[in-house]
Amino acid sequence: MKNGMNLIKTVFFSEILKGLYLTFKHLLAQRVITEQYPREKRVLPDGYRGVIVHLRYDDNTEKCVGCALCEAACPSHCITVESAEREDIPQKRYAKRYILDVTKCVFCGFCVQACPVDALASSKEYEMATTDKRDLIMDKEAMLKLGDQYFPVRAKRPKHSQDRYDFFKTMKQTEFPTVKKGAA
Amino acid sequence: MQTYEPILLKNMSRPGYVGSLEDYRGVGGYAMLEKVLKEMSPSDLIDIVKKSGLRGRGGAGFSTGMKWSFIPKDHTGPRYLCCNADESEPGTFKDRQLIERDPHQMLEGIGIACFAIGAHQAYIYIRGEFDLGAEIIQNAIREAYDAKLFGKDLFGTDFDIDVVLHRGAGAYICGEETALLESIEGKRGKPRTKPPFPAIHGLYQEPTVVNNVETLANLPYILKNGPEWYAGIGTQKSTGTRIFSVSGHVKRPGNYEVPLGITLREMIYEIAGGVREDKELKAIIPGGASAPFLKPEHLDARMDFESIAEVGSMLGSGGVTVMDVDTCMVWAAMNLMEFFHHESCGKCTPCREGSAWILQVLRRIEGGLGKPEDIDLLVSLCERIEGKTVCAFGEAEIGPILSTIKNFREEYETHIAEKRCPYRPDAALAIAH
Amino acid sequence: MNKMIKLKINDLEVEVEDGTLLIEAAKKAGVEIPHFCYHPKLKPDANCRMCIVEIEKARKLQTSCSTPVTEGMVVKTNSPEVKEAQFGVMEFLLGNHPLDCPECDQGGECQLQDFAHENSPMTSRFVEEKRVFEKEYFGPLIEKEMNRCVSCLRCVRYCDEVVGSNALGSMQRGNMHEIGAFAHQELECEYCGGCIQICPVGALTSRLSMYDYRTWQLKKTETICNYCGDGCLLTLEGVKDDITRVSSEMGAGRNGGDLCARGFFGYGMINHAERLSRPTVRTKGRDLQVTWDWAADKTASGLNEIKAKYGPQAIGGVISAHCTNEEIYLFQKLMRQTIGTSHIDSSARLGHINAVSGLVKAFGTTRMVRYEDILQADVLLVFAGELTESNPITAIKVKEAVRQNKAKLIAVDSYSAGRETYISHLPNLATHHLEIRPGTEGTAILGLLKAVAEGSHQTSLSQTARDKFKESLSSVSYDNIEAVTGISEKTFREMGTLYAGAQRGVLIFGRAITRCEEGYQNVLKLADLAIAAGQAGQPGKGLLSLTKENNEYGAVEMGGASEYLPGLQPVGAEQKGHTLVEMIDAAARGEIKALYLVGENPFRSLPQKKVEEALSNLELLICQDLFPSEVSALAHIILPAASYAEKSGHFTNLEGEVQKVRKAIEPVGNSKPDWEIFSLLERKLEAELGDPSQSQKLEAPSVDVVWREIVTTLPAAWPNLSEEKIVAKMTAYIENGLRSYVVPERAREKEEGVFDLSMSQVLFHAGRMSTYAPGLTTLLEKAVVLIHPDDAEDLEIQEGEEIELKAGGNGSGVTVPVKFSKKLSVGSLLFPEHFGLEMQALLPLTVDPITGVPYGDRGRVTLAKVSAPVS
Repeated sequence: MKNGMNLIKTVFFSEILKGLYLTFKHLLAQRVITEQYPREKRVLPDGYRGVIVHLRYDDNTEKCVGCALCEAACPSHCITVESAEREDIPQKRYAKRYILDVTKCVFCGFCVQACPVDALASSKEYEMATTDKRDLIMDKEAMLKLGDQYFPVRAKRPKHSQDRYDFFKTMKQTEFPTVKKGAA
Repeated sequence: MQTYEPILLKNMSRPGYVGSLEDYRGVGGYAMLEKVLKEMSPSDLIDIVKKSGLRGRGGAGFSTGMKWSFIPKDHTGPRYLCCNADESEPGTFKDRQLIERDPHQMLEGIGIACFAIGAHQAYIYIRGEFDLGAEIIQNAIREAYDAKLFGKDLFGTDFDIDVVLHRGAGAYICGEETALLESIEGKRGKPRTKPPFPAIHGLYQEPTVVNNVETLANLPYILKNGPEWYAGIGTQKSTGTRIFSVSGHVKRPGNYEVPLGITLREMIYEIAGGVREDKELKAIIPGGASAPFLKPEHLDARMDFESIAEVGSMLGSGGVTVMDVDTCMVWAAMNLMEFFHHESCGKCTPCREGSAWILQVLRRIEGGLGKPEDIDLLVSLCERIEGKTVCAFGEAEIGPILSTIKNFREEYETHIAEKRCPYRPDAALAIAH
Repeated sequence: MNKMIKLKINDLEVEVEDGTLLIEAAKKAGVEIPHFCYHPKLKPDANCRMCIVEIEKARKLQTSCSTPVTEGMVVKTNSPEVKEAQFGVMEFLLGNHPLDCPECDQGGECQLQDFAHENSPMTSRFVEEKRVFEKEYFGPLIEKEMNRCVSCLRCVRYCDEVVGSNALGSMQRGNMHEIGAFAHQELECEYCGGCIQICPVGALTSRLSMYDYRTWQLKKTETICNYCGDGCLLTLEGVKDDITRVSSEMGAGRNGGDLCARGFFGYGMINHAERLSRPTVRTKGRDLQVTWDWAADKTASGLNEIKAKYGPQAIGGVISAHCTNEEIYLFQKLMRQTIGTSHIDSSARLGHINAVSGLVKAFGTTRMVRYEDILQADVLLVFAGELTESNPITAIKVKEAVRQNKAKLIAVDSYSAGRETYISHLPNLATHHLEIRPGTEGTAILGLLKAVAEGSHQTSLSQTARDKFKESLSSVSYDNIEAVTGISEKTFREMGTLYAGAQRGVLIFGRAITRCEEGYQNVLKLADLAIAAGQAGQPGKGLLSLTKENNEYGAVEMGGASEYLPGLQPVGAEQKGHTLVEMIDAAARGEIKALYLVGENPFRSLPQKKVEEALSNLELLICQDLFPSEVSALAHIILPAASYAEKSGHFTNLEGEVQKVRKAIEPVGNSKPDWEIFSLLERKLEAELGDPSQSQKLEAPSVDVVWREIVTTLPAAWPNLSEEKIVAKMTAYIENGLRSYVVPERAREKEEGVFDLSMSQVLFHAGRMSTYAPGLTTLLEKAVVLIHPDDAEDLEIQEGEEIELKAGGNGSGVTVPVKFSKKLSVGSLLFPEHFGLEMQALLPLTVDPITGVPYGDRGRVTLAKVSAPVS
């Protein structure tokens, strides 16, 4: 029985007819499906992985602590992190230099997953065409700017970290002399 | 009401007895030390004490004679005796009375014990807060030295005993024998890992015996009246009398010396006069703060080492705390935990971190913020402390918690369900600072 | 060999030595038991309770770190009960832990992280508020974050048991327990960095490299430290081409993983901004930064010109003992063979040559004592009061011998046993301390020698030899010795008996012998002492000379001395070239026209005025160095050299252990390793002579080739001498070597207001190089002169106040601030030699008549208060 059906289907090209039906349906329905980019922009689904950006807390401080886990997670080695101690707030780690080489980036989003403080996010930015390749090597400031643009709603700074932050802010600089400042 | 003949508290109950050397010698004091030094051999002495069945009065109840016999006989270096007068267990105040009212009784015991183990140096480690006690012992030592009862070549023999008073600095843990040794050595009072036991590597790594004040004070009487006499008092395995410090909601709190083996009921209702305001009894701690709580149904348990252990608690240091029906058990457990948290030395992880965690949970429950799963959490935390700590402090601190959960679990549940303490409605405010 | 014990761990049969701890036995069986407080270097403390295991027949779970194995033990490390206990401990530990791993420098190599992954349920029931310690400033180099601490007390125990500094302790009780310096003060200790290395978590980290790296980014290179002669194995760890931190693998290397402040915090000089980075040629007062090729051409043609004009003997070369064996060998070959001069010297001339000459004369070798011998010795006789500061790792071995192995330590020096800081001080450690008057070491040795020679102990020494000793000491009386040294006859006799009666006696001597007056003679006297006491020529007995620079030992062996060819082959008297001092003199006289100074700065060891005069007299001065110096200011050609981190080779430490140096980073700037420069020059010089084939042959393509050449061409006896040979040499030495000893007439009288000033090494610095390391300059930034508080009180000087020192009460003075130190004896002053050249001008310079060692470390000065203190 089953074989008979298959034979009939093959003889009458039912698969081809099925495909052509879709083609003709679109042809006859006369709906324009080409998007008129860049005049028109597509609505991107949630979870779209565009350029990686940096986020801030609600008090405008950057979330990134410079742990370099993103660098370790990156399969295409496009992230470079150089962390250091902040000069204005002793004992606070931050990324002194954060470079994202978008030309190398494969938009896998591993870095976003690796980030322990949720400082990274995939934006919906995809319009990165440029005449100068150097524009595609983004530093932290550029990433923060993009982040501000795409994620206007910011998370609250966690209390524990807030405590520490306040403590170091009030701590007089002289009480925490650091060796490195004098270093060449 | 049956009255018992006291042994240790007998002298001080005499009118006009102030515990001076003169007074003590007046009642035949130091005769035994002289006899021991002149006539006996250390092994005879150990045998007598073994025969008397004397057990340590500090808490663990280990046979004193056995403890002495662990000292290596062929050891050539010095040996030490330490008298543990660091009585810091909440609810226990027996040693304090012995020290303050009759110090020579203890000193004679020290002399005898020194001879038994061949020690020429004894340390009395007294609790830092016992200001008066320290002064009295210091005076007593001076008196005894002046009377040539301590020092070189005692009673014409060539045996020397030096006694030194060492004052603690206020740590409960220094009542633990190895922590006590560390403290005498001048280090931070933290218990050592056992083995090696102090009998092999004790003070300054030499063989050492640590005995409680009450244990030592018993020695002159055992020698005077013979081991058989002593073994005849009390029960078969727990011989002699014991001073119980009765406190809490009783009519007549105080130190009572009774033979081991009387019932809790007799102790509370006859000797201590019953529960205050004739309220109903709710809980009893039979042996100092670290002993598990007992319920009124255990009133007929006998107060000796074995019987109390049978009903799930311990005789410990002999501090009997009685609580009436209006006492909140969660609060009581929390209160004790606050003490243990404060006194945890911080050496080993389970005790250090566990005591703080348990206290935080208890505070939450008492403050009305408890969650149903907290009771299981407490039990689990206690199990994770039990048997995994360096010293017995770990077992001590979980005793009150586990026993209150076991015996008064419904009270915890009420706290959690009602989100407040039924006995102390303002507890939440107090705990929230 | 102990008896072996069989036990079962997780059904695995293991056989271990008796006395092994269970945790070690498990490791041997390949079973890792999680732990925090256990560390092989430390005594078990069993406080973390993590290593809990189930032992059959034991009442409860036992800690494997404190339980020794017993025969037939059956152990389970993975039973559900054990796992539950470990989960419990882990949950307790993590309860209050801040979990700030992303920020923590330990993240990635943290034991808490590792064991938490294996031994925790990954979720915590801890919902309470975490306890938070208030942040404390703990000192300039060590960062303390108590919230991360697991209270394993490894740091405290390391500080007490290994370093003996006792700077750390525990404070507070219960879960407020914390680690700290005394009474919440700033840490003041030896800064060995041991606590940082031993901390299993991120509670103690280095501030110097804080947040500069993530552990997985580090590239690690094992090499040898270049500060002192101890020869510690260092692991230089760097991100890209920057050294970010230093560590030393536990148990590895001669140091066994222990480091000192210089090793741990002194790496900052490698990438210092002031490093010379380009070859520079100075013509007509103009500095031209040139290529290597041009600089080498210029150097070669300059040297050839002088050689053609004045002959090869107009050229001299001095090399620093910081260079590798290969470099010193190549340098002496370049000078001796290619140029043809015999004037070659190294900084080993500044003291170590005394020890080499003396010991070789007496024993034929300098390799007698190794660290293991120190550990096994029962009597240590140490003539180095500054041992803990000059050679901290040797000091750690001495400490271990004294503390753990109960060796007797006789310290003979002019320090006092006062203790005021946490820096360990040898006289405090000594079981017997002989505090002699400054500069009377030689006489004190005679006292001991007399006591030993006249003593009744049994030795292998023949009666004739013994009589010889007695005879040579006939004119020496104890009264004279006591008048000079201040030590009584009784003490000498006691110490003599103790040393001579030792099963294994080790004699250690340092700069007080080798770098001070009569150095060569004193080394010989020490050799006599060891021979007379029977403490030489047998395994475990002998003499050990401390070296100041890392490769002084190798420098002499590689021929970096005018009297020795490579392999300690003596140069004939007529061919012997000038020593360092003679070269400077010859340059001043105009006999030497060109000097090639490799890392050596004579300004620091000889009178500056004379050196300046001599160097300006030269027609060609080549300076090859890491940093600009007084020499580079005068030099005609400056060649930038690479530091030890940037090259490969071998260093020989003070025991004579030859150790491999590995290149960690590329040379900084445009600098080149010294060996590369030498081989480049060699090629250029040969090419100038018009023999390109010759140049091809002499070219050294890599250090390995040079090393192979050294190993194959040096005499067979170079690594070690057999005992028989040492004994034979020793006997021959006594036969014809002994001379009669005399004691200096009288002790120098104590004059009012006159102080004994000596230059010495301090723990936080080694030579000039360390003053470029930011970590070390933080610990000791500028020169201070140490004075005993009693003296200061007499003179009414406050700490930090400035005083003026003058030599002989006239001439120009030097102004320096003072610091009190009870370790000095009354009436003496101490100045760290790493700073300020001015101080040297105050000290008289004498030159050893035999070895040509310049002695300028000690002198007498008057001091006066500077009236207005500078605020």
